[in-house]
Amino acid sequence: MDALTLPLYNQLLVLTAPHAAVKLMLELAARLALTGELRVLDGGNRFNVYPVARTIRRYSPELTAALARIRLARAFTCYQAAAMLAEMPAEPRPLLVIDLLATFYDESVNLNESRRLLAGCIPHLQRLSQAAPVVVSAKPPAPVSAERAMLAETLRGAASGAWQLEALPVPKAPTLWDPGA
Amino acid sequence: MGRTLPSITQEFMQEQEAFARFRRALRRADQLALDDLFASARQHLSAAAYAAHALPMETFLLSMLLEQHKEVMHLRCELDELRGEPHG
Repeated sequence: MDALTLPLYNQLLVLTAPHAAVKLMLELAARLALTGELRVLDGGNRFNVYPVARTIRRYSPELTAALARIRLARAFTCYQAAAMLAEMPAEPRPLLVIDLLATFYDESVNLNESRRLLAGCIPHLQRLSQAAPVVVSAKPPAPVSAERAMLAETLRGAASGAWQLEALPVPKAPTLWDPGA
Repeated sequence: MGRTLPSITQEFMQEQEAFARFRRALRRADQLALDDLFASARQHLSAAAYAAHALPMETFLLSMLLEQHKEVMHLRCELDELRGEPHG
Protein backbone atom coordinates (compact mmCIF):
# COMPACT_ATOMS: atom_id res chain seq x y z
CA MET A 1 0.00 0.00 0.00
CA ASP A 2 2.90 2.32 0.73
CA ALA A 3 3.92 2.23 -2.91
CA LEU A 4 0.47 3.36 -4.04
CA THR A 5 0.86 6.71 -2.34
CA LEU A 6 -1.56 9.35 -3.44
CA PRO A 7 -1.80 11.23 -5.73
CA LEU A 8 -1.66 8.68 -8.52
CA TYR A 9 -0.49 9.83 -11.91
CA ASN A 10 -2.28 9.54 -15.24
CA GLN A 11 -1.11 6.09 -16.15
CA LEU A 12 -2.35 2.54 -16.49
CA LEU A 13 -1.22 0.56 -13.47
CA VAL A 14 -1.87 -3.17 -13.30
CA LEU A 15 -1.72 -5.12 -10.05
CA THR A 16 -1.68 -8.89 -10.23
CA ALA A 17 -2.24 -10.65 -6.95
CA PRO A 18 -4.13 -13.49 -5.35
CA HIS A 19 -7.76 -12.43 -4.80
CA ALA A 20 -7.10 -9.57 -7.22
CA ALA A 21 -5.64 -7.42 -4.42
CA VAL A 22 -9.17 -6.64 -3.29
CA LYS A 23 -8.23 -5.33 0.15
CA LEU A 24 -5.69 -2.98 -1.35
CA MET A 25 -8.11 -1.80 -4.04
CA LEU A 26 -10.88 -1.14 -1.51
CA GLU A 27 -8.45 0.79 0.68
CA LEU A 28 -7.38 2.79 -2.35
CA ALA A 29 -11.02 3.46 -3.29
CA ALA A 30 -11.72 4.74 0.21
CA ARG A 31 -8.70 7.02 0.22
CA LEU A 32 -9.49 8.39 -3.22
CA ALA A 33 -13.12 8.98 -2.21
CA LEU A 34 -11.90 11.21 0.60
CA THR A 35 -10.44 13.64 -1.88
CA GLY A 36 -12.73 13.49 -4.89
CA GLU A 37 -14.89 11.50 -7.23
CA LEU A 38 -13.79 8.20 -8.66
CA ARG A 39 -15.15 5.43 -10.82
CA VAL A 40 -15.01 1.78 -9.93
CA LEU A 41 -15.61 -1.01 -12.40
CA ASP A 42 -16.04 -4.28 -10.57
CA GLY A 43 -15.36 -7.27 -12.80
CA GLY A 44 -15.50 -9.96 -10.14
CA ASN A 45 -18.36 -8.88 -7.87
CA ARG A 46 -15.79 -8.11 -5.21
CA PHE A 47 -16.58 -4.54 -4.23
CA ASN A 48 -17.65 -4.73 -0.59
CA VAL A 49 -18.74 -1.35 0.67
CA TYR A 50 -18.40 -2.21 4.37
CA PRO A 51 -14.58 -2.15 4.52
CA VAL A 52 -14.62 0.97 2.34
CA ALA A 53 -16.99 2.68 4.78
CA ARG A 54 -14.84 1.65 7.74
CA THR A 55 -11.72 3.06 6.10
CA ILE A 56 -13.43 6.33 5.22
CA ARG A 57 -14.73 6.63 8.75
CA ARG A 58 -11.19 6.31 10.10
CA TYR A 59 -10.17 9.43 8.20
CA SER A 60 -13.33 11.52 8.04
CA PRO A 61 -16.75 11.94 9.63
CA GLU A 62 -18.20 12.75 6.19
CA LEU A 63 -19.03 9.15 5.43
CA THR A 64 -22.10 9.63 3.27
CA ALA A 65 -20.52 12.39 1.20
CA ALA A 66 -17.40 10.31 0.58
CA LEU A 67 -19.38 7.20 -0.36
CA ALA A 68 -21.48 9.29 -2.74
CA ARG A 69 -18.31 10.21 -4.62
CA ILE A 70 -17.82 6.58 -5.68
CA ARG A 71 -19.48 5.66 -8.97
CA LEU A 72 -19.70 1.89 -9.05
CA ALA A 73 -20.50 -0.37 -11.99
CA ARG A 74 -20.41 -4.15 -11.97
CA ALA A 75 -19.76 -6.35 -14.98
CA PHE A 76 -21.00 -9.92 -14.76
CA THR A 77 -19.71 -11.09 -18.14
CA CYS A 78 -16.62 -10.23 -20.16
CA TYR A 79 -18.91 -8.78 -22.84
CA GLN A 80 -20.35 -6.38 -20.27
CA ALA A 81 -16.86 -5.46 -19.05
CA ALA A 82 -15.72 -4.74 -22.60
CA ALA A 83 -18.85 -2.72 -23.37
CA MET A 84 -18.57 -0.68 -20.19
CA LEU A 85 -14.96 0.22 -20.89
CA ALA A 86 -15.75 1.06 -24.50
CA GLU A 87 -18.59 3.37 -23.53
CA MET A 88 -16.82 5.01 -20.59
CA PRO A 89 -15.94 8.63 -21.34
CA ALA A 90 -12.42 9.82 -20.55
CA GLU A 91 -12.87 12.08 -17.55
CA PRO A 92 -10.43 13.47 -15.00
CA ARG A 93 -11.65 11.04 -12.35
CA PRO A 94 -9.53 8.06 -11.28
CA LEU A 95 -10.77 4.68 -12.41
CA LEU A 96 -10.28 1.51 -10.41
CA VAL A 97 -11.00 -1.74 -12.20
CA ILE A 98 -11.25 -4.54 -9.67
CA ASP A 99 -10.64 -8.12 -10.78
CA LEU A 100 -10.96 -7.27 -14.46
CA LEU A 101 -10.05 -10.73 -15.71
CA ALA A 102 -12.51 -12.68 -13.55
CA THR A 103 -15.09 -12.85 -16.30
CA PHE A 104 -12.45 -13.37 -18.99
CA TYR A 105 -11.41 -16.56 -17.20
CA ASP A 106 -14.95 -17.91 -17.61
CA GLU A 107 -14.61 -21.31 -19.27
CA SER A 108 -17.92 -20.92 -21.04
CA VAL A 109 -16.29 -18.20 -23.14
CA ASN A 110 -13.92 -19.44 -25.80
CA LEU A 111 -10.28 -18.53 -25.13
CA ASN A 112 -9.94 -16.80 -28.49
CA GLU A 113 -13.05 -14.79 -27.74
CA SER A 114 -11.66 -13.79 -24.33
CA ARG A 115 -8.40 -12.75 -26.01
CA ARG A 116 -10.27 -10.74 -28.63
CA LEU A 117 -12.38 -8.97 -26.01
CA LEU A 118 -9.38 -8.22 -23.81
CA ALA A 119 -7.46 -6.89 -26.80
CA GLY A 120 -10.41 -4.57 -27.36
CA CYS A 121 -10.41 -3.44 -23.73
CA ILE A 122 -6.75 -2.48 -23.56
CA PRO A 123 -6.90 0.54 -25.92
CA HIS A 124 -9.86 1.83 -23.91
CA LEU A 125 -7.96 1.45 -20.65
CA GLN A 126 -5.06 3.32 -22.22
CA ARG A 127 -7.43 5.99 -23.55
CA LEU A 128 -8.95 6.44 -20.09
CA SER A 129 -5.51 6.59 -18.49
CA GLN A 130 -4.71 9.67 -20.60
CA ALA A 131 -7.26 11.66 -18.61
CA ALA A 132 -6.94 10.13 -15.15
CA PRO A 133 -5.11 7.43 -13.23
CA VAL A 134 -6.36 3.93 -14.04
CA VAL A 135 -5.56 1.11 -11.65
CA VAL A 136 -6.51 -2.39 -12.74
CA SER A 137 -6.32 -5.41 -10.49
CA ALA A 138 -6.35 -8.99 -11.68
CA LYS A 139 -5.76 -12.39 -10.24
CA PRO A 140 -4.00 -15.35 -11.82
CA PRO A 141 -6.34 -17.93 -13.34
CA ALA A 142 -7.38 -21.03 -11.43
CA PRO A 143 -5.23 -24.13 -12.14
CA VAL A 144 -8.04 -25.65 -14.24
CA SER A 145 -7.82 -22.76 -16.69
CA ALA A 146 -4.06 -22.28 -16.58
CA GLU A 147 -3.94 -21.70 -20.35
CA ARG A 148 -5.64 -18.34 -19.70
CA ALA A 149 -2.62 -17.03 -17.80
CA MET A 150 -1.62 -15.31 -21.04
CA LEU A 151 -4.55 -12.91 -20.55
CA ALA A 152 -2.90 -11.56 -17.42
CA GLU A 153 0.40 -11.37 -19.30
CA THR A 154 -1.26 -9.40 -22.08
CA LEU A 155 -2.77 -7.00 -19.58
CA ARG A 156 0.52 -6.51 -17.76
CA GLY A 157 2.30 -5.96 -21.06
CA ALA A 158 -0.02 -3.09 -21.95
CA ALA A 159 0.40 -1.27 -18.64
CA SER A 160 2.63 1.68 -17.90
CA GLY A 161 3.43 0.02 -14.60
CA ALA A 162 2.80 -3.56 -13.55
CA TRP A 163 3.03 -4.93 -10.05
CA GLN A 164 2.85 -8.53 -9.02
CA LEU A 165 1.95 -8.98 -5.37
CA GLU A 166 2.35 -12.23 -3.52
CA ALA A 167 0.74 -13.34 -0.31
CA LEU A 168 3.17 -13.35 2.58
CA PRO A 169 3.65 -16.72 4.25
CA VAL A 170 1.77 -16.97 7.52
CA PRO A 171 4.38 -16.68 10.28
CA LYS A 172 4.52 -19.72 12.47
CA ALA A 173 4.31 -18.98 16.17
CA PRO A 174 7.49 -20.14 17.87
CA THR A 175 7.10 -22.88 20.43
CA LEU A 176 9.42 -24.33 23.03
CA TRP A 177 9.64 -27.49 20.95
CA ASP A 178 11.00 -25.83 17.81
CA PRO A 179 14.23 -27.60 16.90
CA GLY A 180 15.88 -24.29 15.95
CA ALA A 181 14.82 -22.45 19.10
CA MET B 1 -26.01 -12.43 -10.50
CA GLY B 2 -25.29 -13.30 -6.87
CA ARG B 3 -24.98 -11.07 -3.88
CA THR B 4 -23.22 -7.75 -4.13
CA LEU B 5 -22.71 -7.44 -0.38
CA PRO B 6 -22.19 -9.94 2.40
CA SER B 7 -25.41 -10.67 4.28
CA ILE B 8 -25.92 -8.99 7.62
CA THR B 9 -25.36 -12.33 9.36
CA GLN B 10 -22.02 -12.80 7.60
CA GLU B 11 -21.05 -9.26 8.51
CA PHE B 12 -22.07 -9.86 12.12
CA MET B 13 -19.96 -13.02 12.27
CA GLN B 14 -16.99 -11.14 10.82
CA GLU B 15 -17.35 -8.34 13.35
CA GLN B 16 -17.61 -10.86 16.16
CA GLU B 17 -14.54 -12.66 14.83
CA ALA B 18 -12.66 -9.35 14.75
CA PHE B 19 -13.04 -9.20 18.53
CA ALA B 20 -11.81 -12.75 19.09
CA ARG B 21 -8.44 -11.64 20.45
CA PHE B 22 -10.10 -9.08 22.71
CA ARG B 23 -12.42 -11.78 24.01
CA ARG B 24 -9.55 -14.15 24.57
CA ALA B 25 -7.79 -11.62 26.76
CA LEU B 26 -10.81 -11.15 29.01
CA ARG B 27 -11.52 -13.04 32.19
CA ARG B 28 -13.97 -15.90 31.90
CA ALA B 29 -16.81 -13.97 33.54
CA ASP B 30 -16.23 -11.05 31.20
CA GLN B 31 -16.11 -13.38 28.22
CA LEU B 32 -19.57 -14.62 29.14
CA ALA B 33 -20.82 -11.05 29.47
CA LEU B 34 -19.36 -10.20 26.06
CA ASP B 35 -21.00 -13.28 24.56
CA ASP B 36 -24.30 -12.09 26.06
CA LEU B 37 -23.84 -8.71 24.40
CA PHE B 38 -23.27 -10.26 20.99
CA ALA B 39 -26.20 -12.60 21.56
CA SER B 40 -28.40 -9.60 22.28
CA ALA B 41 -27.24 -7.90 19.08
CA ARG B 42 -27.98 -11.06 17.14
CA GLN B 43 -31.65 -10.73 18.10
CA HIS B 44 -31.89 -7.61 15.96
CA LEU B 45 -30.13 -8.77 12.82
CA SER B 46 -33.25 -8.47 10.71
CA ALA B 47 -33.67 -4.85 11.79
CA ALA B 48 -29.98 -4.26 11.12
CA ALA B 49 -30.38 -5.70 7.63
CA TYR B 50 -33.35 -3.44 7.00
CA ALA B 51 -31.39 -0.42 8.26
CA ALA B 52 -28.71 -1.11 5.59
CA HIS B 53 -26.25 1.09 7.43
CA ALA B 54 -22.84 1.52 5.83
CA LEU B 55 -21.24 0.74 9.17
CA PRO B 56 -23.17 -2.26 10.50
CA MET B 57 -21.16 -2.37 13.72
CA GLU B 58 -22.88 0.84 14.78
CA THR B 59 -26.23 -0.89 14.37
CA PHE B 60 -24.96 -3.89 16.32
CA LEU B 61 -23.77 -1.64 19.14
CA LEU B 62 -27.13 0.12 19.20
CA SER B 63 -28.85 -3.26 19.31
CA MET B 64 -26.75 -4.18 22.35
CA LEU B 65 -27.64 -0.87 23.95
CA LEU B 66 -31.30 -1.46 23.17
CA GLU B 67 -31.29 -4.79 24.96
CA GLN B 68 -29.43 -3.25 27.89
CA HIS B 69 -31.99 -0.49 28.14
CA LYS B 70 -34.85 -2.98 28.00
CA GLU B 71 -33.20 -4.81 30.86
CA VAL B 72 -32.83 -1.57 32.84
CA MET B 73 -36.50 -0.70 32.23
CA HIS B 74 -37.57 -4.16 33.30
CA LEU B 75 -35.50 -4.00 36.49
CA ARG B 76 -36.78 -0.50 37.21
CA CYS B 77 -40.37 -1.75 37.01
CA GLU B 78 -39.60 -4.63 39.34
CA LEU B 79 -37.92 -2.28 41.80
CA ASP B 80 -40.94 0.03 41.74
CA GLU B 81 -43.22 -2.92 42.40
CA LEU B 82 -41.09 -4.03 45.33
CA ARG B 83 -41.21 -0.51 46.74
CA GLY B 84 -44.96 -0.43 46.19
CA GLU B 85 -44.66 2.56 43.92
CA PRO B 86 -46.65 2.84 40.71
CA HIS B 87 -44.44 2.70 37.67
CA GLY B 88 -45.08 4.64 34.49
